[in-house]
Amino acid sequence: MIEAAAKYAHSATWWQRTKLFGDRSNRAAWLLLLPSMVLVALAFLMPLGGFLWRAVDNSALSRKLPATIEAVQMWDHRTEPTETLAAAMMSDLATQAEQRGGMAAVARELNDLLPSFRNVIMRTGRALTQPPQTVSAMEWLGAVDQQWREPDVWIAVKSNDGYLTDRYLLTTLGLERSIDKGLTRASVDKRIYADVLVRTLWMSFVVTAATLLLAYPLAYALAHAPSRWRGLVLCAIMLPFLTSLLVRTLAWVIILQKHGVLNQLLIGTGIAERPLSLLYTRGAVYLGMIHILLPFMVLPIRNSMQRIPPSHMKAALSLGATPLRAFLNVYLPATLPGIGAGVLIVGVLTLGFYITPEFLGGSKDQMVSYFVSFFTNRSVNWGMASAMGIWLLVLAVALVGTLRWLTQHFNPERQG
Amino acid sequence: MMLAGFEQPTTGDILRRGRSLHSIAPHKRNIGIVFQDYALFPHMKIGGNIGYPLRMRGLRGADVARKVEKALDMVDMSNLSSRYPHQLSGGQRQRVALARALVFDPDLVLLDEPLGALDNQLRIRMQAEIKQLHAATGVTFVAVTHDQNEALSMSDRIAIFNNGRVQQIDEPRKIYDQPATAFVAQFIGDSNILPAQLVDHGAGQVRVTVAGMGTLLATKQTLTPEGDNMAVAIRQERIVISPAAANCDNRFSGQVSELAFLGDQIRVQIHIGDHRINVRRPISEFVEIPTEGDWFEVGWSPTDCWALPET
Repeated sequence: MIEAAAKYAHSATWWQRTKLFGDRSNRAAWLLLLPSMVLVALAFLMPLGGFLWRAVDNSALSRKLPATIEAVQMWDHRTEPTETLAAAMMSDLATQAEQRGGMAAVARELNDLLPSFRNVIMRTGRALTQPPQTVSAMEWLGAVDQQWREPDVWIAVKSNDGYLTDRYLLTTLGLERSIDKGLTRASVDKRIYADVLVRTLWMSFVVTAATLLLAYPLAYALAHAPSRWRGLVLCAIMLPFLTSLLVRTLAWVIILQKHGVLNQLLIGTGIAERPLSLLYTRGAVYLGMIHILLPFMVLPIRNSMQRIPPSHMKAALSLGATPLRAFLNVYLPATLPGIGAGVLIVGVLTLGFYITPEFLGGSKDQMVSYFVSFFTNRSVNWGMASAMGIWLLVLAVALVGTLRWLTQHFNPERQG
Repeated sequence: MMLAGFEQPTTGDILRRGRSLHSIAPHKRNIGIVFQDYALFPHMKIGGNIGYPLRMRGLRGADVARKVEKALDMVDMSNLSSRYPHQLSGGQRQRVALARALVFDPDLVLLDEPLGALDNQLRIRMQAEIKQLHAATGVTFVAVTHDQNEALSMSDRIAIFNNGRVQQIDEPRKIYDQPATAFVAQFIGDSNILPAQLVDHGAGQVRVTVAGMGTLLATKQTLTPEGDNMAVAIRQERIVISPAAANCDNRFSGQVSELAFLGDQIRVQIHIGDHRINVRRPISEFVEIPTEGDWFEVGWSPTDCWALPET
């Protein structure tokens, strides 16, 4: 027996010794996991990676304007824009003008650096159809549009001459990097994204906290109520779970709108004289989100409550703890794993909420997801969309990490 | 659980030193409880668990530490104060539960099937330890158990309940030798219970008939009914076999229906009339071991046969 074991240990290759693929049954398990892992890699990790890459990707500019980028790198930005720059730009634009959609792509890239520069590019593109013969490149460009003479244009290109850029990420934080590599606060109109991030964090904190406060007594009732009540309450909580998120959100629109159910009720009972504007407010968004997320909080908490042996509370009472202290010292700590799980699920879900704020909230109640959608669908700014997406991911991962750390430090049963 | 205040009696009251416990909330009763599953708080260390009742009584810091240490010493667990309950064995958890129930000098300690979760050897050792603890602390222990051996070996006094009614309260020996009811006779020790009809009362004895067996003599007990119907109880090990059975006043023979080898003893079940009588005797007393279907003679003295109320 021992000899056989020694022989086996000797013959084991390194990957057998890692125990990861150790024995036959383990290998079979990995084989069974393989299809889902391939699916995750192809359908989740790769698109996600590609999307996130766009937050720092700046290769389009160097691809579209290779000569200009080269020229700009030689140029000292403290001096006036030179003839070389203008010539390089002209040749690049001429090349792009021959390609279908080339000018539009350049216009989009530069418009992102310089507000309202799209028109300048498009006008220059049209002028290029009758190419100049005699004048210098800079004079010709300046004649097409005065802005070409401004150093700012060339500085903007020079400060984005690399293959990678941090400008999207900085913009989402309300920051800007100037040519001298110093970080400054962005202009007011570009600062809104930082507000959106803070707003998203705050809203998901409020929703998570409110859901927790509502869910805890509900979970307690579910875990300890007489069984015939239990079924009814569980039904009431689970039924909305089975309807689609969109339908539930629209139901709130019907209830909250100007001549909706709630307003009619308020006027009918004489509580309000005129219809209240309930829809498109922060309160409406909170209401809808809490309603939708409540089951995600109730179920894990109920689960951990049901696992507390009844003897534990009795023990605390018999040892002289008042009912309140017994609850705080014995019951509450035992439900912490459930609270952790609920907060994690609800927290991560609220961070990414889109439909509910879109339908129930005003412009000041939109969260990060709204802007991700806005940048991908409407302004086609993939860099900004994925930069916002990255912060969403970072926040979610930070939440998961914090809760993991907390559970490992405050749940002794998980240790050794 | 009524003692501890977790359930309310439907009728009646519980008095402690003449005072009703009825209106006292569980956390004010000052009763230490050792639960069947020990109910140690999983998120507190052993020291925290034992110190809990002290902290609930307003003790702080060094006072708590000193008392916890003393309690741990008492149960031989001094060096395990900083472990968590799930890191301990069943016996160790039992000791911690005991220490926690004793550390705050309770008026009463309630042990709810305290040894049910332990294996046989450990159970016997813990029985001895609990007895020592009881002697050392002088606190009244009330232990609830379904294990008759545990009840007999650990108790000063035993109260036997059936369907919420007290059947008998007595010292272990009296419970065993003079059971008050047929339920007690059956619950403690292995007894044969036979329904019987009174024939006549004698001095300290009654003559009864058992359907299908005939008449037999039985000893009167305190609760022996005056009326017609009663039960007679005979301990399995007090029944003798031939040749000694020939001298008994109560003597019967029947066919062997079952044989069980118990190591040092043999249990023989014989059919007499419609009744099955179990007899347990040391192997050495058997002249020859019977086989199933053999005729077998048994007998018992009237003093080992008790006339009891029916249950």
